[in-house]
Amino acid sequence: MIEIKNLSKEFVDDYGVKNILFKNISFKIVDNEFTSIIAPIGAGKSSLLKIVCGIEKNYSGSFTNDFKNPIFLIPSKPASFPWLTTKENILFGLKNVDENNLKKIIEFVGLDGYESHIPNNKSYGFRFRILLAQALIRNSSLILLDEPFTLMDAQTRSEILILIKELREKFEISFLMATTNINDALFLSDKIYLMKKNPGEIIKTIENDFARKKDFSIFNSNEFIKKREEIINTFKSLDYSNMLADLIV
Amino acid sequence: MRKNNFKTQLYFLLTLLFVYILLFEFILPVNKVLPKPSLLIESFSSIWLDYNLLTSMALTTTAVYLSLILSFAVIFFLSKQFIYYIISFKDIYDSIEFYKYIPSLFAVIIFVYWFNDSILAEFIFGFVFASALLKISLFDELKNIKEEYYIAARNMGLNEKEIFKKVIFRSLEPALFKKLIKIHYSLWMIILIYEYIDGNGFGGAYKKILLYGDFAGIFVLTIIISLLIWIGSLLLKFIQAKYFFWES
Repeated sequence: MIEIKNLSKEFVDDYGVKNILFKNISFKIVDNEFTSIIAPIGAGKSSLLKIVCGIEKNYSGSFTNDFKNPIFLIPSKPASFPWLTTKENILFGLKNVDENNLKKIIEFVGLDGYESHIPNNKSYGFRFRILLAQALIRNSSLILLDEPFTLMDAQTRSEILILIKELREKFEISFLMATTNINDALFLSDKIYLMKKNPGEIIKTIENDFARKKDFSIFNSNEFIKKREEIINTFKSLDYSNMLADLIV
Repeated sequence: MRKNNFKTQLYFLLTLLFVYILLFEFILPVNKVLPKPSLLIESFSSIWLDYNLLTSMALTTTAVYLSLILSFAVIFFLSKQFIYYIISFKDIYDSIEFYKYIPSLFAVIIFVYWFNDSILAEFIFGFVFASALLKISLFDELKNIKEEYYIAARNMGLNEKEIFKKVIFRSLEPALFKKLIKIHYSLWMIILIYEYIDGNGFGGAYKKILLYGDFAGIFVLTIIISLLIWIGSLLLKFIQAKYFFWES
């Protein structure tokens, strides 16, 4: 489990003015749970994820990590190394590899037959699969997803959504996703935190039970629509800058 | 698509050649713009002996390609080993950007002044020039480091030094090699100027040709040099396609 208490982060803008990116953020990432943070652009979601995975060190507040295995961050532009093949990418930096396990993982993420392909010019969906395989082969306890589906087409997006649900059935793994997309969050998450910006603060927690259902028809269910309305109304009650990008139409 | 492009280029060149032959062999055989095609062909065989072009070719091509290979090997090797430290000098580089206002000819003049017409000095000059350009390119590319690669490398458990050596530098290699191909053209030009001043190699041959007023010689020598530059760039592009093929 990861417990974050009163996490705050400041930054100095181009004009030398000190700004608060987010303040007093507290939440938990529980074992085998899918947690999402829905927030508008600029609320500090990416910085929050970087703090959780240890890339960003400049913050105040406490942060405890009980996970034994590594934390894996998948950025919004999933990058694989274009000078290596798919298999070499998955194994990059590893010394001992269980070939059977590797084969199973490659099959699971849907990359069998592509092991010797160079991921250069491949779709973001393809690269996402490579990154998932990298996380699985390293027995990661927690995968952080930063706006993971924004660059994917609709078909790939639905395939990956289902893949993540299947992954949760097969492996004991936790997720923390930062997103602006309400549907993705509702479809995948056990728990959703709503975060506002200026400054970033968590304003509401929503328990969700669509996480284990793999059927896309839940998007049309009354319960789903009600939850979606609840999230939209929460953000609508704030100022205009807190409108989610996908709602400004 | 590529084949069609090659065909178009070939047709264009053949048309130009046809117009040139027609115009300067039959219509305007005596002029000061371009020499007669038949005169060029005659000059092609005699020029080698007249200006000792074989030795000049050996000297100039060695100066260009040895400098290029050495600077590539040294800069790539050293930068890869020390990129983690080099990156902290990124801002210092910005403050010495005034080098852009110094004419390259100054470097040539000062080298010739220091070493007269020494062949070794020409090699050293080529190496220093190519290395400096390559180093500048590296500093330019350091501004384009992609955060995604850094994150990907962190995910694999690499430490900071390993990330820069094994991933960040590797991600910059195609852009650096692209710059090396451009440096190749600049190096040819600057070495020819160097030789024109100190009187050796192809540059020296140009000087003699101009002195004797050998109109056809200017064109024949240019064709020979152009062919060498073309072959060199083909070789470099082949290496690029084989070893630095990816777009970051």
